[in-house]
Order: sequence, then C-alpha cells, then structure tokens
Amino acid sequence: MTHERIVDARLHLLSRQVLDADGEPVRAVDDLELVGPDGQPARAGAEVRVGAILVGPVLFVRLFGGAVPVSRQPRIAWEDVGHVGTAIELTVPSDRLDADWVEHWLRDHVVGRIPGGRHDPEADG
Amino acid sequence: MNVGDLLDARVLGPDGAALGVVVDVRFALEVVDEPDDESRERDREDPETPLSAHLGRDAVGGARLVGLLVSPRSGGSFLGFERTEVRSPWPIAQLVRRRHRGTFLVGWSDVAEVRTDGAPVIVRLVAGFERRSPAL
Repeated sequence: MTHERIVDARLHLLSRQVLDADGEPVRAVDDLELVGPDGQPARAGAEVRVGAILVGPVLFVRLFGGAVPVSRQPRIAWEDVGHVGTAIELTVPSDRLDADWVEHWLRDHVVGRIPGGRHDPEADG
Repeated sequence: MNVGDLLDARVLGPDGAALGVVVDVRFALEVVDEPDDESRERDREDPETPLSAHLGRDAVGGARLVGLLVSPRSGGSFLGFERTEVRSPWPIAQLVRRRHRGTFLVGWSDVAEVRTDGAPVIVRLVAGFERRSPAL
C-alpha cells in the first residue's frame, strides 16, 4: 500500500547532501525543478511535481547576482531518487550522472595522465 | 519554474492586497516501499550501523507540490518551529514562533498565477482561497 510523506523544501530538501547508490557524496541540492504532467512546464493551480534536482554553479550567482540559465544547470532526475532522509540517496551510481561531468572529465583527461594517477588507493586494502 | 523562484515570492490576495511572502514550499512524497517493524527493530538493536545501511528505510517515488507556506511578517526561515510541536530551546522557539505567527498554508490549487518575469516574483491567489494550518 502506498501513502504519502509530507516534506518542506527549505526544511527537508534544499542544501541537503546527495549520495549516489554506493553512498558516495555527489553534490548538494541547490534547487528543485518543477514540472507539470508529462514533463510540460509547471502551471499555477494545476498538478505539479518535482522533475529534477538542480545542482549548479550557484556560487558565482550568489556573489554577483543574476541567474544561471536553466539549460546550463546540471540536473539529477527525480526518478533516480530512492530515499529522502538526512541525505538524499540516489538509486544510480554517480558515473551515470551528468551532474559530475567536470569531475569525470578531469579524472579522465588530467589526473589519469599523471604517472600514478590511475592507481586506486582503496584497492590496496 | 523552480522552487527557488517561489521562495521569498510576494503573495497577493485576489484583490491585490499583500498577504506576505512564501517561506517554504510543501511537497507530498509518494512512499512506494515501506519497511516493516521488524527491520526498524533490527536497526534500533544495532546502533553502530551507518544510517545509509539501515534496513528500516522507506523508498520514495514522485514528489507532488502540495502548497506554499506564507508568512505575513518575515521571509526568514522559521527553523521548523511553528510546523512541529518542538518547544525547545525555549527562548528561540518563543522568538521564532512570535516572528512567524499568522503563517498559513495555501494549497497549490488556490494559486491563480505566478509571475516570474519581474523581481520579486509575484504569486496571486484565487478568490475564496483557504488558509490552512501550517503544521506538518
């Protein structure tokens, strides 16, 4: 049987840590994108759901004002969310997320080329 | 539209009268898989286990927008005090509650229009909107 749990955005969701399926920290929740049924734009008074968690370069926006264009904001689809508690836990590993592309790009193109950069210290036990 | 657009938006009544600011946005999380009492009991018996490895955790589905919490006085956070039965620490609870007295929840179906083109964002309510209790 399904039921609903009530949460408030500021109290329970915003700024919470996002963990991937392996428990690794991904990002923190900066904003939540609202969508209507079938992914249409959200409309006042009509049914609205959370479409995605937005994680993005908000530091510059906070310092200098303005807003990040929606198309430039990395997002994590809400379908990937498995549990909402002290942290927000995803059901997918972070490698599958676009939100971490800068880190993955640097790992593959910069850190990986440094001698010893492909060594996994955790694998040594 | 994002939650960030709605937070701190000015709320106007159907006649254009200022009612306050949006201090929070409320959602209903669909709980698709609820743990049984046995799993929760096992978590309690083993306090050393990290939270992420607990068995007694629910799985959530979609998050439906329920409504907006509107405070007539302060746009600041109320730390959850007036939404729960938490009464301590006493001086802070008293202060925050006093600052946010008159806060109400308005259902999303009672929202007529959200104007995001200007700053601040304006939320206009329908005629005959209902002031609901902000308690969680």
